[in-house]
Amino acid sequence: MNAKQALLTSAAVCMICLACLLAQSVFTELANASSLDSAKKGNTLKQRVEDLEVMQEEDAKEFFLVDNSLGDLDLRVLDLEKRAGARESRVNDIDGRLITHGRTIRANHRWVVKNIKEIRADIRRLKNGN
Amino acid sequence: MKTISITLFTILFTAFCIARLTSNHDSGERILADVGSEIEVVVCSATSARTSTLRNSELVSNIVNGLPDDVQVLLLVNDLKSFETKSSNNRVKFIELPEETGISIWPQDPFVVVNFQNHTRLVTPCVFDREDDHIMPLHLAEKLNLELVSSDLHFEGGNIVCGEEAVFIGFNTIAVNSDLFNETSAVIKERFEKLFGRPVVVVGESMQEISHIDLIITPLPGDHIAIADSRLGASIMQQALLKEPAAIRSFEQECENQFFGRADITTISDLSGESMHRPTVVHQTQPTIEASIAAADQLDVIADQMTRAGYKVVRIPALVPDLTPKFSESGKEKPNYPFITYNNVLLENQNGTPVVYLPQYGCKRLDNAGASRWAELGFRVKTIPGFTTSAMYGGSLRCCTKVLSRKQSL
Repeated sequence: MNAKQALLTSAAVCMICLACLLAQSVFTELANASSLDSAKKGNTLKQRVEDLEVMQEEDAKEFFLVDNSLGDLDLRVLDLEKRAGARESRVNDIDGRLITHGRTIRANHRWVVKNIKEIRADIRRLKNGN
Repeated sequence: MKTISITLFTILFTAFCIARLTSNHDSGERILADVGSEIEVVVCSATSARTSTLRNSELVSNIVNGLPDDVQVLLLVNDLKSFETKSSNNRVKFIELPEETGISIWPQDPFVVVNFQNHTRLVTPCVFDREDDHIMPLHLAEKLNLELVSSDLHFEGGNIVCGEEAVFIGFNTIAVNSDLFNETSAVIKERFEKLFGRPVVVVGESMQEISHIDLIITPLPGDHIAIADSRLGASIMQQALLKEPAAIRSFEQECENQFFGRADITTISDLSGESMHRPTVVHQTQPTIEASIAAADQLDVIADQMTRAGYKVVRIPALVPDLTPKFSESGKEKPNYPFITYNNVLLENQNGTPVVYLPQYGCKRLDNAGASRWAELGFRVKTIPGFTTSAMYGGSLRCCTKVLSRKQSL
């Protein structure tokens, strides 16, 4: 192989390599173009966020997110209060019944004591009569 | 000689071309750093009181109002009809998730953001099983037409923080993946480096007791790094307990009172119908101080490790409660005394001035100490209140706020 032939072969190889590199850069550009299409249009992430449909008034600076379902929490509390109220009325009821029971027991006690007194008096009278 | 030279040149040139064609050269893909230029877009999630025991509408309002007016906030919601905005604000956009899903208030964890030129890519772990949080990146990607990449690796965003150059990953993440793929830590580290496009620094040398490093580590501009100091936090709290016991009692009581949003609510039923009681915080400051002192050694070990790695370490006070998990009768993890950290922050550079967005917990002395420390470090401090209840579940500002883009991402 003489020098001229070697030079030509080398030049051909180099040309092929350069062509490959150029082709890669072109195809990379194309590949990136689809994924970065929006970025190239200036359509950055921020822009895309701004483009979201839900638009609200522009000037307000303070933001207040109100959770209306706290009402449900109130309902939970109301339910607890209702249940507590029901328990309380049951306790009052039982308490009332206990008072009545107490009165009845005391009345019974008084009646028993009175009966015992009467029986004792009867016994005394019977003894004296004898 | 001439022929040999030409042939040699041709071979070398061909080899160079082949190498260029076949190599996966630096594509410029890099995980979004926690430091850098101004924050542009963030993601938060809002949960309603009727779907979640940890509702956060007030906290979200505080975050939105605490960030600069030009920051766009994407708000993930699964119960949109529960919410209304008293005052409109065009920088908050709702992204609705299916009603039947349950989400947490922490969008930091189920994905990471990787940038490639102006292109934003959301990278998800192989699995993420906290509630239905794995749907967060799916819906974000769909709504914003972002590329979504599912990784084979297992990770949580809270255990990954990123400085200007390196990305810091907690030991547990490396260990779990090492076990999962039966690979050495070095191989796993290499895989993360490829995924995130930055060198990885593994934080810690043994299993983490604090599950997410973003609670205790903040990369700062340059080669500085801020690491929590739970001994200092405990000392400040001990002083407060001695000098202002009434203020501490009031803080403890407020933690309990605000847990369910109202002081008179002590128990509510969760979605499964099981009762949930608010945690006991009153009289728990002293045991928490002791727990915080006990946690200090592991933080010192990390500080030493970072110093050895060539970073300039600064310390920030923190009060670390006893992190031994406590479970309810139904097996759910119970909330705790608040994890008071001033490392779980957002940072940005505004025209050359470093700015820190700093969570506040309502414990004045410690809040002030945290803010003063950041000011001493040269930061303009912008405080955001209302993190007490979130901190009782172990999360703070960074956990609640995922930065999606900065004006000029690193």
